[in-house]
Amino acid sequence: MSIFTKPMSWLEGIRRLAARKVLPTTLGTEDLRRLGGDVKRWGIFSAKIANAEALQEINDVVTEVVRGITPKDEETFTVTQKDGTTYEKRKKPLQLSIPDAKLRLRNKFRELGVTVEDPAKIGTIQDPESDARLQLIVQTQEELAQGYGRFIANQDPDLLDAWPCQELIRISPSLVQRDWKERWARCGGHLYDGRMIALKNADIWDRLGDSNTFPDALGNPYPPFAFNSGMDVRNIRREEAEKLGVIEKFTPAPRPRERSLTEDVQASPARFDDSIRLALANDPTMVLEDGVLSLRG
Amino acid sequence: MALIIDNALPSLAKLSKALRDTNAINKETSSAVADEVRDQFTSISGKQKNKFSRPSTFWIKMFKSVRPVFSATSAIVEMNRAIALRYFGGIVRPTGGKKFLTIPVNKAAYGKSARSFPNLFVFRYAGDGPNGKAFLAMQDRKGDGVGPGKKDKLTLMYLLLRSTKHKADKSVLPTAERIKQVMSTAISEYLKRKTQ
Repeated sequence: MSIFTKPMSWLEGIRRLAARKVLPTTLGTEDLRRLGGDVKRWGIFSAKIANAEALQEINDVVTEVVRGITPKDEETFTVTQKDGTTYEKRKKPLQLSIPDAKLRLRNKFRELGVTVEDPAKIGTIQDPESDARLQLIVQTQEELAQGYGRFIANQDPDLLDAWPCQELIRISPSLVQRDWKERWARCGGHLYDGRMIALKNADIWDRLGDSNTFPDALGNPYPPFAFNSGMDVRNIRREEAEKLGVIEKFTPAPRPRERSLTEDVQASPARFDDSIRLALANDPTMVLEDGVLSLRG
Repeated sequence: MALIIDNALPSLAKLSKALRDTNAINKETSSAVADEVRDQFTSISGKQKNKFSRPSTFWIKMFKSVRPVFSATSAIVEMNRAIALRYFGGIVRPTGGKKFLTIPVNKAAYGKSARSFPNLFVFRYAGDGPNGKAFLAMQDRKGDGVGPGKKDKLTLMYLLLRSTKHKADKSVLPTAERIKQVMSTAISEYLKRKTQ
């Protein structure tokens, strides 16, 4: 049953992500945002890319970018230099780099003929082969994987007791200027010494990632919250949270999130386009009843 | 002299139980140090820009790679091994069958693989001697290529190097003293919570 009732390790989070299903879709990014957050997390997607093989390649590439290092990666061979000295050289890079991941995707898209129909859009973000689009695909998927892994690992009662709160912080400048303090206030958040801090199980984290409120949101209660946000969270210790007035002394630790995928993926199939509806309805892990699509429990 | 521990006292019993739970202590200390390392990376990220004056994505990647790993016998903080190169210094050589590292020297090349440009060629500057340099370059025709000033334009994209040497920089990670301090605080707060 897909309910997170116990803490899972970071690696387990990644493993779940690596096992995502491929859902072909011709929906645009705007349409995809309207899908339930976990449908997006569970099924790898990329706006307007309907080719299942191309989507599988995205899945494989992202898995390689985020996966851990295995003993096979450590295999080396000996190189002898002109002066007779030798050194060990790895057979392949430890992890797939972002530039190599983008190149691999671009080559696959070309091979499969996944391209933009309107020549005027060549080189723009709507062109699957453009660097901007490839960067968006790889970076967003990588960030979702990392964020999901950390979110799952943090659902540990001891850690929630020691660090009951988290702060929304900027870790990277964004090319698109968005006022996160304004978003924070809009979601009902308070500032403590000018800092955006809240309990880890507060609703504000869901609201920040809610695509019904913010058109660029991804539907996650964890970073990156929105496309190219550059935002992340930082743990706040109980003592510091008390000192800042976020919580009072002896405030109980937040309860681990019992994030029910069944609830999250309930959405009317009328919002799905034909291809995604077909893919979801034929999925043995999903059930379509009375027009509501849910995960099979 | 005999040391008598009165386990009947509830607070001492709690303390004893808390201290025996080395898994919980290691979970707490490794998580605290992981936070400290992330803070360090965020701080560096805010100050550093790459040579094209764009914010470096390296430290963001490093930030996201930090995670605590713990057991009853160890508290570890894992991170991307690129940090080891910065911290300890070392030599980087190309992997696999490649002979050269490709170092972007042009903004357009930053964040892209050299193979993503179809028409690159090797351009040697000042010969092959110790002072010579080799680049991957591309040629663009200015204007229509006819008349004075309408020449081919050479754009250097990547510097080719057989290896790069990196100096050790201990400032990329918190100092051992700071780590000890963070661990000590984490243990104190853990014991305080468990004995309340």
